Amino acid sequence: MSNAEQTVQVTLSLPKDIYERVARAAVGERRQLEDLLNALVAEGLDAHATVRELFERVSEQYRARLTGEGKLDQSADGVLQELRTLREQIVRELYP
Amino acid sequence: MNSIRSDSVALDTNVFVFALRKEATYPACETLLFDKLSELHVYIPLQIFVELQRNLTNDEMRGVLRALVRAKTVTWDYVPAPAERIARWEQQGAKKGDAVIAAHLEAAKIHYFVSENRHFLTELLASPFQVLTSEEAIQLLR
Repeated sequence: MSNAEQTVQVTLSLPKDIYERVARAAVGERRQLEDLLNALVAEGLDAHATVRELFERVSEQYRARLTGEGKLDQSADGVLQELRTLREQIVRELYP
Repeated sequence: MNSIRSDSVALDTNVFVFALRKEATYPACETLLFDKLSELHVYIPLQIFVELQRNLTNDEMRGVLRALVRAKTVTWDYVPAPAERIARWEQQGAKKGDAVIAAHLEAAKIHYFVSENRHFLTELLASPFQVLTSEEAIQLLR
């Protein structure tokens, strides 16, 4: 299990007005309060991250997935060819 | 006069894919996207948005979107490419997929397209935009 999938329980004390705003937003967005708080903390951290840090996180996740699918070793030419094939496929769908 | 610093730049799907893969053959893709993004006005046409969606999971896509908002500006163009322009680029020898990209960029008056796909240079001889590799784009930013 990756770090992103593991969870740690924390107890959080919030000012009442902040809590009420989050609770209202959770109702408005039809989300669990815990999910929304999780997303808000992650977004807050992102605001402090550099562009490289944000992309590095996605890259790590992407490369791990490609490794699992046995595709990370694919040659650059192979990737380009696959992208060209995908482009033609999408075009056939969007512009029949 | 056009400048890569002041004009919008479209990034091809292969730039994103090679950057995220950390492809050793094209290291400039990572440098351009990870380190130079904040110097660019980025334009993403519908075709490239859909291609990114097909290559990435929802979570990975969200991560890319979160990072892309750090560009100087980012424009998402969800309008399909104009059919008459696609047809014209096809008549000039472009494969339909590349014709769609060319039609998007032409309609949006985009002057720079960064791609590692060299077919663009051979297929689109009279394109109204400049096709650059990531390395060339970085050189222009220096």
